[in-house]
Amino acid sequence: MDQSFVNTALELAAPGQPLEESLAHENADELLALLYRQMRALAGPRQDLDDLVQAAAERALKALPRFEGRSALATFTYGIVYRTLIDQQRWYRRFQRRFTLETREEPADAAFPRSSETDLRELERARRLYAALDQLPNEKRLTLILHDLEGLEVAAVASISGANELTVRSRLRDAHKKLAEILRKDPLFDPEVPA
Amino acid sequence: MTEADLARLALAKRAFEATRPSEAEVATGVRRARLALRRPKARRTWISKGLVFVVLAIGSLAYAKPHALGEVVERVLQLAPASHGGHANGPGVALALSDDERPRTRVATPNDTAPSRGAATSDVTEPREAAATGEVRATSEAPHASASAKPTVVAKKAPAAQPAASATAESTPTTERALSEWGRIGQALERGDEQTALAELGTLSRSDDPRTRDKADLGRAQLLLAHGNREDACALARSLTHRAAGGRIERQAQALLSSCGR
Repeated sequence: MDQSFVNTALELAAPGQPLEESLAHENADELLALLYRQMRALAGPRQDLDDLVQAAAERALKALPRFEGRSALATFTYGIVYRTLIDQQRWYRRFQRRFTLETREEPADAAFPRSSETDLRELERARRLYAALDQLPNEKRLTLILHDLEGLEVAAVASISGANELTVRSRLRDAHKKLAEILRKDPLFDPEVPA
Repeated sequence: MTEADLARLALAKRAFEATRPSEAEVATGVRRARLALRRPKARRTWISKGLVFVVLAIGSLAYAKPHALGEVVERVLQLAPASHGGHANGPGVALALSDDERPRTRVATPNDTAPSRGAATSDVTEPREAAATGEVRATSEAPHASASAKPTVVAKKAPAAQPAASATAESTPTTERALSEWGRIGQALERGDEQTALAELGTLSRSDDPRTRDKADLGRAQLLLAHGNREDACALARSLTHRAAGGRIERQAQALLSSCGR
């Protein structure tokens, strides 16, 4: 991950600097782009992605002055994205206990603008993958995404999720087991079928 | 995980990579985030600040003056019915201890009365209020200030409209009866007929209503103390504190009792 803008990013939010001033900085876009990519990876293509990115950006701009450079900036922002997502999902779970949303037709996902047949197959596979991931508990799902799909080390995942490395490994093991069970039933994930 | 599971995971990873957001999508997301973050939010920090201030103020008041909070609540509760059509004049004379709030009145102490029993001048202010409250305001002047041999009870007419007087106007028959008795006490004090006033107070102190009883006893204690009958006054004050009359009555009884201890 490109860390060239770490120093400039740190200048974005000096202590006591209003959010508006931080946003006026040119490098804010780089930070927001990083947050967007990370949130998109962890949360997947969903309707409230923009809200999540905004919440994470607000937290990140406030937390940047506390960044001491002991880890990569991407790890630091991943931690913020992780906590934002976990908090949102906890809130949503509480919300669902009291209210039910009116079910309506989901619009065609504009986040996957593909045209060729191969891409369409990948698109469908990705949709099913996210559907399968949604069946995993939050922490296990995020751990699997960070480690297996984003390719982060266990230590980095532990740092992001604020958990012990052994806990991360345990979560990974459980997530693998559960995901494998789900994907086994899906013909699109059959390795025998030619891509 | 088996080999097949690993292969499935590899397929999943490929699908994940294939659907990573494009630069255009990221730029759009960044623009939206920027716009949303620039939008001023309705900050309501003043609510939490105000809440903290109110809690601190009430807490400090409760700590510094434990009785004051109870009095405030009591006064609010008393004023509430008054604001809903209580009578300012006439029969709606309150049974509240509204006089206590005025600094000009004070309870007679043995120091005031002891040197010269006759010198003490019991000044019962505002008989209607006094009658209503059941308290005799004994304000003693300096021993040399009065040459009268016997304490005289001077009653002044109260203004016709007393806002506090209607504070706890009650329409129950007991209260009406009590009101007329308090009125008689006021008239007796006005005439200087303290024996009658004491007798009436004695009648009231056998009332069914504990509050009326407490007020009557407090009035008797103050009147007796103004006369120098310290033993009876102290016994009454002690009885009032023992029965935990509550609020202002108990405080005044304690004030009397502190005078007894000297």
